[in-house]
Amino acid sequence: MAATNWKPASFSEPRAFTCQQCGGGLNLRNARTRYVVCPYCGTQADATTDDFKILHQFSSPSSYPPRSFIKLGDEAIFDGVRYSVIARTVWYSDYMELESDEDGNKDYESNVWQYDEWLLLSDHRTFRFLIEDQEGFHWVQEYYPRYPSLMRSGRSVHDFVTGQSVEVQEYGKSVVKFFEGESTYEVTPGDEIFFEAYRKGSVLYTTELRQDGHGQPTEIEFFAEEKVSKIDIATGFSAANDPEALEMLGKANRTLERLSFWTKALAGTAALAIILALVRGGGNPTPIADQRFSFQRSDSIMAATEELRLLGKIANIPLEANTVVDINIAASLQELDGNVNGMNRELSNGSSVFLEWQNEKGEVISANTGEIYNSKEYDSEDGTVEFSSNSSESFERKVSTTGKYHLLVYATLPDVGDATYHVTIRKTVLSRFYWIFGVLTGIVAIILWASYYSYKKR
Amino acid sequence: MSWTAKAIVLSILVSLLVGIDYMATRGATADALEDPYVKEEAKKHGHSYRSVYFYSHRGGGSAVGGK
Repeated sequence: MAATNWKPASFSEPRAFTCQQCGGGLNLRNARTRYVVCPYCGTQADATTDDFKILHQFSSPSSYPPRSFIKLGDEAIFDGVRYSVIARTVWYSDYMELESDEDGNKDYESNVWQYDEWLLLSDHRTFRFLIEDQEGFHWVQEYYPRYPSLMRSGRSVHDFVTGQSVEVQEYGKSVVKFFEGESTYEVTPGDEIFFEAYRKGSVLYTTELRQDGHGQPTEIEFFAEEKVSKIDIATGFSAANDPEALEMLGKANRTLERLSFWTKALAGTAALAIILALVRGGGNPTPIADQRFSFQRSDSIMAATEELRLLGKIANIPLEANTVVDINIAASLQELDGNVNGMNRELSNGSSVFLEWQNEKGEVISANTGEIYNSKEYDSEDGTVEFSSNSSESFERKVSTTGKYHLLVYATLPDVGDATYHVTIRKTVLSRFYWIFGVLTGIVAIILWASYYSYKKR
Repeated sequence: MSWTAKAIVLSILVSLLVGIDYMATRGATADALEDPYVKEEAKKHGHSYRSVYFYSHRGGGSAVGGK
């Protein structure tokens, strides 16, 4: 079977058009072409005559240069099918678009927009429209709806597939500003179409209407429009060896490669920083010192709970210069069991701790204070009881001189009951640095990853 | 992106990580074990520095209120 090579006899090979006005040339691809507008001088000629008789002079093509690398006569391959670019219409739309305001109220707002509509003819003699505007590219395919909606139906139309009522996204009028290339009917600047469109997912479904001079409809067409990325379009034209498309694709691929590399590099760094935070952040599992001190109410020679009392000393702790130590003191205090209500607003049991560092000679070099407590508090405003507690205090200290140090542990008598204080000293690192670095590089990696995808789809 | 550029970027990232590691292990934001203020106060006031320091520095005071 040689179905793919089949061509109807009526379609001949490209016919050379030479403009009678400026001498510019163009290969006509469509055997049924009746009109041709010279892309160099804007002269409209009759393609049915052998000498391409001049019909009109349109506006100069220099006022409407193409937006990107695509130009008349270019070739491209999409979905394995070769296409030729045979015409371009520049449209100017004056339309109403459904917009939501800050409060979520929807209303139609007036808008204007200009876009290029490229007409592509395939080797199989099928057409495809490519819309190009400042936002990028859209494929437009003719659509045959099961439930066609006719124009002027208000703000809702029939869903082409389900027939359900859907909101019109945009409606208005488009006017031809410029045309170049070949066509089977006469396209003139000033030609108008009316349109109404609704959106479903990523597809914009449009109904287009043309009218005669008396406002009577002459033609209704239906289209489905879907975004296509610049890279996909450049890939299609590159496949047909279009040098400008190849250059654009090369640039885009280099940008994508850069984004991808940075994403991986930063994600890798973030992962490494987080691994370091987890591995090293916990501190050395074996403490340098680990000692318990108990404070019995009966031991206390002081009646006042506000007086500091020396509980004990961890002597001769060997510390090396340039290390960070984490000093932790923990105690569980007796929980108070009382009825907290409007009459008795707060019950709390607390003990203040005081840690004093001395050097080898017994000179005081630094101190830390903290508070260990548990409390119940009655909130008279909403009648709730709030619990709060702090069962340990931690301090980070960096050592600048290697030597032996002593830690003296002081505390105030708990308000109620006895307490045992558990003091541990560990070598550690400040894991917050790894966390901050890891999270920041992670965020940048996510942003780069998102830019990679948005660049690819733009 | 050339291999040179990639190598530069990777070395910047590794240097940053090494810098972070240096700050984390040297305790860039931790208090020094030798606190000149406490040393001075302890020298000047002897043991009584403790109560002055303690009452002016202790935290969480309100939590043990209501005694």
